[in-house]
Amino acid sequence: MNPSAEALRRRFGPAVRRVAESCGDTIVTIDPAKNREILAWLKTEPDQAYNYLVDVTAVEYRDAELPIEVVYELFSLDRRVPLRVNAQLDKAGPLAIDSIVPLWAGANWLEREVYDMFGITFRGHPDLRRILMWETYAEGHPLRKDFPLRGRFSRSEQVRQVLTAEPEANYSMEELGIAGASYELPAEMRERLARSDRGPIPQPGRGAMAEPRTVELSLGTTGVDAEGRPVTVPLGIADPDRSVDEGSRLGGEHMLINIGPQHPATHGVLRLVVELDGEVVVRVIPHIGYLHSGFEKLGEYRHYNQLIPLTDRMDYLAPMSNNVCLAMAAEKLMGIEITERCQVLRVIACEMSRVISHLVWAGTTALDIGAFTPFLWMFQEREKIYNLQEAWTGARLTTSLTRVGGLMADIPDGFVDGLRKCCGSLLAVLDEVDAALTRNGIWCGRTQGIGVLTADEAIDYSLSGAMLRASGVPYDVRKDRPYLGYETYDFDVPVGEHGDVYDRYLVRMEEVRQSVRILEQAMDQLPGGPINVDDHRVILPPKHAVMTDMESMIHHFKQVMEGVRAPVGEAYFSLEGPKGELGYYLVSDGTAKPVRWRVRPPTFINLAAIEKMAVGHLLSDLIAINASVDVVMGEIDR
Amino acid sequence: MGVITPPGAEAGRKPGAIVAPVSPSWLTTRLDFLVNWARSNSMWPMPFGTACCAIEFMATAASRYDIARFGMERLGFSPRQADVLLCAGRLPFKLAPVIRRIYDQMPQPKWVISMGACASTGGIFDNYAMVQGIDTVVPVDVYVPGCPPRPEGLLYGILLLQKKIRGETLADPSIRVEQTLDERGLRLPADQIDELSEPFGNSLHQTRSA
Repeated sequence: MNPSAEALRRRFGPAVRRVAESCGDTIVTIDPAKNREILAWLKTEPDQAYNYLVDVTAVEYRDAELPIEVVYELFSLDRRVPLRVNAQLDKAGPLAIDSIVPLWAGANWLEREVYDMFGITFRGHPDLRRILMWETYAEGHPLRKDFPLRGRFSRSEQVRQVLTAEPEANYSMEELGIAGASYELPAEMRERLARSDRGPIPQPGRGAMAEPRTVELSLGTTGVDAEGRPVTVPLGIADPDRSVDEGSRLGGEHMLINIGPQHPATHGVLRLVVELDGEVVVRVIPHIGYLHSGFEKLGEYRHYNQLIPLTDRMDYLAPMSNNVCLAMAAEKLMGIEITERCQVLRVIACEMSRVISHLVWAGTTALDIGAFTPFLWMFQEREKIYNLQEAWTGARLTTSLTRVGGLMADIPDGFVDGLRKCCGSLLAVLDEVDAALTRNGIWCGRTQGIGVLTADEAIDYSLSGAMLRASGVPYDVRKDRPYLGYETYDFDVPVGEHGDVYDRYLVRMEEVRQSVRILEQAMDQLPGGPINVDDHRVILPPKHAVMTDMESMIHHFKQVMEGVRAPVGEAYFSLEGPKGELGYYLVSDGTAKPVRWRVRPPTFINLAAIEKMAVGHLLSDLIAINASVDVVMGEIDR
Repeated sequence: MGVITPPGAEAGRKPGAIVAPVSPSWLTTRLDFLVNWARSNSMWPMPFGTACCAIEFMATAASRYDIARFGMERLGFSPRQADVLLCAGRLPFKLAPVIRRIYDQMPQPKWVISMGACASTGGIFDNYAMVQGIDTVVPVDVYVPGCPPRPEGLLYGILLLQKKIRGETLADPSIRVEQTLDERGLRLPADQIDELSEPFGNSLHQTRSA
């Protein structure tokens, strides 16, 4: 039991309603009226120092009597301790709770998602809009238990509604009000917007925002003066002291540019609405949800093993680490210990997927910044790893490698040799990319000093993975919350200094090299033995036994027809995915299907910081910044 | 399931519309051959990559599979300069107006390849968020099965489309008629969309709650 629970009891008395433990995690249930106060105390109290907000989500149980829970997953980066805090909201009362955005900026999108999916209002949230569904979505809140899986309307009605939707569905009210854009709206809509509860739209003609915002410009391109000394030539506005707002008064209106959802540089169907003053980014409003596929809702209708094919399709650049994460979360929930060989094979799977994910990242980011060749090199290497994946799992991309309690298959003959060869050629290609990019003047100019986040900002936004480490925070789940025996491997965690796009590139490239180190160690120490646990309540018995042995046949039948039952409880398991901390939170009510399957999507949370990174830079830098996040829309939108 | 007639198919035969006055002759068939040869061998794809299939599409375009062998290396991300809309990946409802807008922007002649199970039928995502097949939103020429299809599968789909193009004739203008949305904002009659989107296989069984 986490001692923080006791400390909370002492400090807050009856506001702490219940302390429980499930699957090794301590869960503190608090009074919803005091959530902000308690979380602020946990964050700032020196003995507690839960300074990293991992996730905010909500759970609704199948039993309609039970309250809805808002769940906060916290982690102390200094003490390396997790804590889960939840607040129960009675369904009879208003579903509202204080927003914790004042404590952690990273809570912004997470709370918006909870609002979108559950209809819980966060009081004091700066921008509580739907995030995954469109703004005028009329069918309700999809993750509520009374919401049917296929939606409330018929398919034709759903298609009709989106095809005939008014621009409001695609733009936020705020954007529609931006000068220039509102001219193009029909008069009737302008009138309606003006009447809406969301406040009057600003008059066209003056600055872009309802309230003038001042943005400091610290832009410059480096040149040399007559004597050859480096000087900084300011871009955008000649006088660096002059603010953007002043510039707009002098020069005219801000411009609204819409990038995406179909744009080659957005790495999927991301849409960025950018407000520009000349070339300078004043504001970025990301719109996501264009690939929202209802994974979490679908998960509530599937057995635990049936979730694994879904995880492939979430972060499709690194399917195997998603498979591993789901199996580990389910095993944590069910209290299953996997075999040694399985552990090492899963390490190999995780590191292979880190390698291929970073390869795509480097290739496409270079492509965005104007270098085409690395893309071809990287895909050449990827194809080699794809071949290995295919030999192991039968699929190039959608691997579905794991099963709860083990793996779908053992590695085939010759796999280790193939992987060794692959590692060798991979290092050679990395050296080539290194030679082509790392000291390349264009590459450095496009990436250095761009999209800077300090360590404190990165923690405030709950960033993880290379985004966090490039800002100088050495948090790696493999080191700090070890799983799969990662503590026995010898590897380094690269950490950046400047927190810019260039450092993110360096960190990722070094991570690939470290992954190769881990892969080599794993191959050296690969133990023999079974890959699956010896428990036929969880793992299907071998086919020959099913055909000859009554008991095996019964196990087989029950597993296929009823699935594996998990005990009542909840488990959060996270691993260091290629994009950051990938966490799966499973809640079970004792049946074979989870009540709630929550994904802590690293890229969703990393992307939320894009405005922070991009404001004040040029539009073309926004592309580099967006690429540096390593977005994968399947995971962001789920 | 009823037969799906493209709404524009009869429109092309209306009085006043341009209908080829000649029956196929040696000259027109030679011309068809020439035009189709040119069209089929230099299709400019507009990759509408959304999800996993887009990664396999990228693999198809990259070094090993090399889509350039089929005259398709010029990936145009502008619908204004594209011939083939290649929908690679799932299409949620939120994205449906986007693909429709892109399709409308493409000039004739244009074709559509639906890559993968999700684009063709909704795939494993039989839920509130997903369009059950892009053919309820835009007309489709070639469906490539697979989840995701291998690059070879996509290349085969491209070859099939080339074959289809080689069978077209300039004498039949109806195949080039713009298929616009009807007054209700739908491409197909509502009952056809509902029928196309019905659950299939065991997906209804799986959606029963535990």
